[in-house]
Parts: sequence; C-alpha cells; structure tokens
Amino acid sequence: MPGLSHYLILAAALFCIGIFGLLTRRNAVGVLMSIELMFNAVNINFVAFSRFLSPDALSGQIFAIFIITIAAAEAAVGLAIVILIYRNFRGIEVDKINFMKW
Amino acid sequence: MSLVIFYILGAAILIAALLVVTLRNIFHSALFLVATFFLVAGIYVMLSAEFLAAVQVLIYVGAVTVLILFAIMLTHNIFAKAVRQVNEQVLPAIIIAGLLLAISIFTIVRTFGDAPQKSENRGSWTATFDTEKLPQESDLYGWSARLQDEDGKDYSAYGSFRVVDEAARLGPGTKLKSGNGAGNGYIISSNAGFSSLDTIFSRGQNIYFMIWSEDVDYRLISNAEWHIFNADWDEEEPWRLLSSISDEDIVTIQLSNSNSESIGRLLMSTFVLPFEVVSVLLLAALMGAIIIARKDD
Repeated sequence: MPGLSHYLILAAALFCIGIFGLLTRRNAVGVLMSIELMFNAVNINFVAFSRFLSPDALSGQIFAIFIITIAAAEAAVGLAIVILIYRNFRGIEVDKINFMKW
Repeated sequence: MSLVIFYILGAAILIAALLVVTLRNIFHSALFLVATFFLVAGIYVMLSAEFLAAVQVLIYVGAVTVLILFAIMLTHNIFAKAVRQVNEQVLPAIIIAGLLLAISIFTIVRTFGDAPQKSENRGSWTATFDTEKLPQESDLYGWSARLQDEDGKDYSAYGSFRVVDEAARLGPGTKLKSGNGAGNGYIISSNAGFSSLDTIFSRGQNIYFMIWSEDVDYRLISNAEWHIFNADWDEEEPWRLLSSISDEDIVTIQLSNSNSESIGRLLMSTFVLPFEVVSVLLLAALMGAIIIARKDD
C-alpha cells in the first residue's frame, strides 16, 4: 500500500518536470502546459495530505477543486494572451517577446 | 497490489510528463499532456477521491486540453519547418529542477518517511433523523447502529444525544452542552469514533450522525440498521427501544462511501463563500479571455 511519502515524491517529481519545461520551452503554449503539470502536482499533494492526515475532513479535496477551477480560468486567459501575442508578433516564442525588458 | 498499481501509474505519469516538456512537436506534447491528466485522475482514484477524478477528466482532459489544442492550431503552423523548441537554458534548468527535486525528496523522506500511516479502510456511515418524530416524554435519547459487512461480520456503535426545545436550547439548557457526556459513542472495534455535528438538538432539527472507523472497510459494508432509544432512568432497563420509531421515520440512512456527496455537503456549507467567489472569478476570466482575444475593429 503506497504511503504518504510515495505520493509526495511523485508530486515533487511531477512539479520539477513542470519547472524544467517552464524554464526551457520557447513556445508560450508549451510554457502554459508546463504550468498545468505543476498545478497537477500540487493537486496530488493536496489530495494525498487530505487522504492521509485528515481523512474525515475533505478540505484538501475541496482545495484541489478550487485549484482546478483557477487552472481552467488561467488557461483561458493565458491562451487568449497567447493568441493576442501571436497576432501582434507573428510568433509565440517567449524569448522574442522582450520589448518590455528594460 | 496497490503498490504495484501505484508504481505503474507513477512511472507512466512521469514518462508522459517528461515527453510533454521534451518533445519537439508541440502538438504531440499536448497529446501526452492529455495522457498525464488521465493518469493523475487514476492517482486520485487510488486516494479515494472519486469525485475529483471525475472533475479532473471533465475539466482538464475535456476543457483545458481542448483550449490548448485550439491555441496550438491558431498560433502555430505545425507543418512549417521545425523551429527550435528549447532555449539556451536547458542545462541550468536541469540543475535547478534536479536540485529542487533532491531537496524535496530529502525533506519528504525526513518528515514523513517513518510516519505511521493511517489505515486504508477508513469509512463512515451516516444517518439523519427528524427530531419531530421523537416522542417528547424525555429529552435524552440513545442511539445504536448495527453495521454488517458482506461476510456477515457485525459491527455495532452506540451513543446518546439530547433533544430540547428551542427556548431551552437558547436559554439555560445550553449549559447542558458542556456539562453532560451526551454525544459520545463509539463503534465496538479499536481505533474508531463517533462524531456528530452537535450533541444537543432543537426539536424539529434534523440530526446528522456519522460513525467512522479505521478498522472496517466501508466498501464491504452492505447493511446498516439504526435504532433510537428513549431514556427512562429505570434501574432495570434504563434504555427503552422506542417502538414508535420505525424505519420510515429515519429520514435517510446512507453508507457514506460516496465521496461526491460529502464534497457537495462541504461546498454548500463550509466553503460556500469561496465557491461563489470562484464562480465569479471564472465568469470574469471567461469575459476577460473573450475581450483579450477579440480582434480590434
């Protein structure tokens, strides 16, 4: 039977993969996908803590539901921004969009 | 057995996630993202969060991925000559992610490595009574529940509660709450307990009981029987079974192995304000996305 630490380590690995993608992807959509991976890792953490530390209170699962909602909103707004950037720059490589860099 | 399933699921998740961040073709990445979301839903099922698994499939696999695929189709000509997909930060990124992973694993193992794990078989059973149906000759009642699993093994639980008139509840009667031991009860088996939202109830209020146990696999419980007793303070037989309470008087008896029901209860009670705030946020995000992506005239 997998214990709490199994789930936490899985979530940590998933989170780090997300961080790797976030730092290396040039495509803005790829960056957003990496962020979704990290959201999932955090959700696994919440549900695992809720399951193992306080199984009677489902607060962890409720939080995960809220995170999923926020992630959906984030994806919608983020992808709208990506489409807008594509329209203005004819490309969505994040390292090319640097005109706000000082 | 479940450990094997966990390892298979976990390995599949990590492989799919690695492919998401490393594949050159962003469209293939998105397809592996779908696979990752599905497998994470499997992890939720393993954590007995069935409702969350369904939400994960509906929202992530159904909605978010479709959005991402749309964005890929609208922004990127996948048949064009391949553009470099990674920037020059690959080595620092590997170092940072690897370090973070190492620190996390070290911390997790140190903190939870030898933590005693609670049993897998925790479950709860609930019953709701309408106090209007109780006879008013006394205000102290006992309850007992008999749960039976598929093998015919019996578990019983008992406890007491008090029902008072609203006036008494708000007046001097409220003192009873701290004074007496009403509301205690336990299932006869170690590591178990009883909880209810309250131990003193107004007449006309519904009582919501929950029994939980660490030893009983709630998935196996096939039958539950609840009884209400009236306290007589008779030396011989202090607790008298109320014959007037029949099975139909018990409003609901449920084996609360439905995770969605508990979540629904919580969302509509404790978390109702965050729930509404999040719905407003979702609406705002929807309108914001439309306004941002709209073509300027």
